Amino acid sequence: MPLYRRAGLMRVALTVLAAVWAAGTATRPADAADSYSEDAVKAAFLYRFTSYVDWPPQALTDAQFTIAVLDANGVATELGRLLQNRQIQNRPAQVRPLKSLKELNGAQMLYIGASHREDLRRLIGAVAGRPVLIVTNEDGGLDAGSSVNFLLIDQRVRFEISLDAAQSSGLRVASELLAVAIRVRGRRVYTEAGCDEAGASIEPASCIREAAQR
Amino acid sequence: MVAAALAVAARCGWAASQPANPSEELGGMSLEELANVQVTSVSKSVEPLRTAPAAIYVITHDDIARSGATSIPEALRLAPNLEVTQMSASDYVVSARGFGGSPGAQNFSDKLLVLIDGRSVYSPLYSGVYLDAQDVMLEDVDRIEVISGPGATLWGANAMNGVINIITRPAELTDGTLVSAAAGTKERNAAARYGGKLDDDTAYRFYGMGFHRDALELPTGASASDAWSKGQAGFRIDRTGADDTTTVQGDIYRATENQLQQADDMIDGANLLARWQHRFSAQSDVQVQAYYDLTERYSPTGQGAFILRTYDVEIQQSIALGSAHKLVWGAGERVNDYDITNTATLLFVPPARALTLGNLFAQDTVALSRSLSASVGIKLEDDPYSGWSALPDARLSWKLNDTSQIWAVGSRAIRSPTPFDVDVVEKLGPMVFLTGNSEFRPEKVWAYEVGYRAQPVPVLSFSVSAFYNVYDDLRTIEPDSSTTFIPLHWGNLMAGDTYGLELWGNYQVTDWWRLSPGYSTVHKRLHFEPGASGLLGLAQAGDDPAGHGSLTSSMDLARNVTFDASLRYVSALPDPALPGYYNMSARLGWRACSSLELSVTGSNLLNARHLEFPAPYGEEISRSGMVQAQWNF
Repeated sequence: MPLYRRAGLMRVALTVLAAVWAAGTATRPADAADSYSEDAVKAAFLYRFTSYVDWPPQALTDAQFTIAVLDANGVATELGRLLQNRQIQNRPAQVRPLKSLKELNGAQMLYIGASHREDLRRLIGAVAGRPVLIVTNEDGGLDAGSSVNFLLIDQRVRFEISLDAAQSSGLRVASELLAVAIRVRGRRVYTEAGCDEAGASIEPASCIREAAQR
Repeated sequence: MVAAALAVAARCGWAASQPANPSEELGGMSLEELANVQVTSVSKSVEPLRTAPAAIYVITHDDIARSGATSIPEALRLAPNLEVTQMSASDYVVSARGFGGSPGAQNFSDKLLVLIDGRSVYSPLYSGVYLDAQDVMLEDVDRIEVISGPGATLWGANAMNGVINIITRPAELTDGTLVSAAAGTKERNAAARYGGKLDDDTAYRFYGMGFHRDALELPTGASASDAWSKGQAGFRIDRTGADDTTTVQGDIYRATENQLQQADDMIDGANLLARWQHRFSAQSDVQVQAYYDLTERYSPTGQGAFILRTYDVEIQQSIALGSAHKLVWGAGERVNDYDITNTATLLFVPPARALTLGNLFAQDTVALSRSLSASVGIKLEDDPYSGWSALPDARLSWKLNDTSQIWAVGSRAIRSPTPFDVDVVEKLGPMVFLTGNSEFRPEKVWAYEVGYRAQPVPVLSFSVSAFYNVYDDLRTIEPDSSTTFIPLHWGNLMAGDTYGLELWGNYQVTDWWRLSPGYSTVHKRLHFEPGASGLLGLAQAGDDPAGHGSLTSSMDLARNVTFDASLRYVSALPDPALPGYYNMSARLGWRACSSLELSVTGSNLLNARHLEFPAPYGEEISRSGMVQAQWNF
């Protein structure tokens, strides 16, 4: 069963190499960066998530929208750059790097970096029940109780969502966010009635945007 | 073909220019766009510290990709706790903590359990693994967990010296199209996979792959005439609901292996597995798995052949009892139905059997305090030749702080008798030379291990483990009890102990450079028991190096250029003797654009050719090179 003829495949590989090399050098400015840092992409995701999550009114009493970041200096720096002059939920947005969870105060979102792996369940437990969107960054993050967990797959930042965790924090997650998630854990509760239906943990983004504008 | 190449080049378009402020650019992207942004990361330190109380080394998807490995055995070289020896073009010996076997004494590496997505793939005919038959598409492998030391209670039969757990990605993580092709001085291969979603909860993929690997050389420089080719195709469907996860997957394959001065060997096989996991509550879940596996080897000219059909069903439930106890229990039944075509010199009597292997196990993990947890478990295994065996296991895990852990294990494991131990009849011409032994007992081990793993600073993590294993009833060759000497038969008259160390670590030198050293040792103190013949010596239990190690360097030279090199060392083999050797492989990868990666790999770079096992069993492996293109969209 001669699967391949040696010369044939070799020639294809060389042709591909040559063609791509030519295409690359023809259109690329020298030194152009091809990809972004992981931290920058995660920061952008954190900012984006806020458009697809609905916080209860009691979580939005501050004049500012705060994303707290624990032990992820790179992400905090990128987020700081990104949030300059941006608004989230019609409020000026800020990032608050934390040294400990005691400084969480009224933050609406908490990102926990990689170095708390052993303690994650305890950390999240300490915030349990508060209307804070908790985002983690490690295998088993959802098991430890976070609502969103980043995964690095084939050099791309992807995320998984736990609807149960979001719901127990009193948050509603838009279906658009679920659609991009790699996997969704927990019960999907679809509501036909409209945007004000209580108890639904999943809402079309239009409802949430409407709510944010109110 | 040129057109295809141009199409690739055209697809691989570049953004005309990069904005001055990347944050600004990223902030304007949609979720979908963000999810497709390629990021740079060499760091392994973001990997969670594996907290299992066992000597577990995890080969990640990236590790495999960056090594340039094109086969499972070559990928297994990445695990410092495995000794991998290439014998021929298609035959590798893989062992943990010694006992790699000695083919001259008809002793083979037979103390490992290898699982592919939960499907046991060691051959029940002799307890070894046909790694040339069992394969996966490496691009879809999520990780390979390598556990050295017994794992029978949790993992299953034959996990005497180690467990290799090959885990492919769920279909939801392999969406899109992947095409890869490689050509080199010793191998040509190609693979393609397509993955998508049937609905919100259901994802699927299917793939096809094939390769041709050239013959190795005899010490004379002549070809060993053992080139081989393989084609394989398969699929996987995953449905992830609120409380239920269902997986159905299967593969089909065919390989042809040239043989020196003999007709080709053919390998055919197919398997189908279904797994259902259900979560009753946060405290309780259950998993039910069933599979069918068909594998056959034959020669078209009608020499020896076997066909093996495996039917397996397993159930496992975990229940949290209060806040301190986590109980896992399960049961399984496996039927190995085989039919062997005997040759004139190698016969199995009877040539066909249906062997039933049953098991029942339970393990309780208790949190004794916030930092101390213990688990005790036992597996009762009923094998067709020797009946019930008890395989107990006790583990202790002590978390010193958030970044370090000590663990200790005591466990018992066995290698059950196989048709090769019991039913075999070997002839020299008309004379019966060796027979199996209907009284053959399981080979047994009591294993004691301690380990320490820590990440004292974010850039440095390491693991050290030490083991002391006490073996009994290891297989020997004994003469006939009458005066005729011949036929010989298998006995159980070797015992003794082994001890050794395994260490490995990761040092993140800079953002873009990681060094990963690893080293393992094994010392064997075996002896024949009174009444043993001592035929073929103690070395028949395994011609193992006393130590082997590796140093791997992983660099991100630029945002889209990676360079990886791995130096490995294997100390001398005792008997038959082979001097120790160093070797090296290296890979340069260039991500030409987000969808296309090109790479050049060099293997066995330090020697024009080298042996990993003495001739005539080992063959000369020459230096080789390969170029590869992988297109992902």
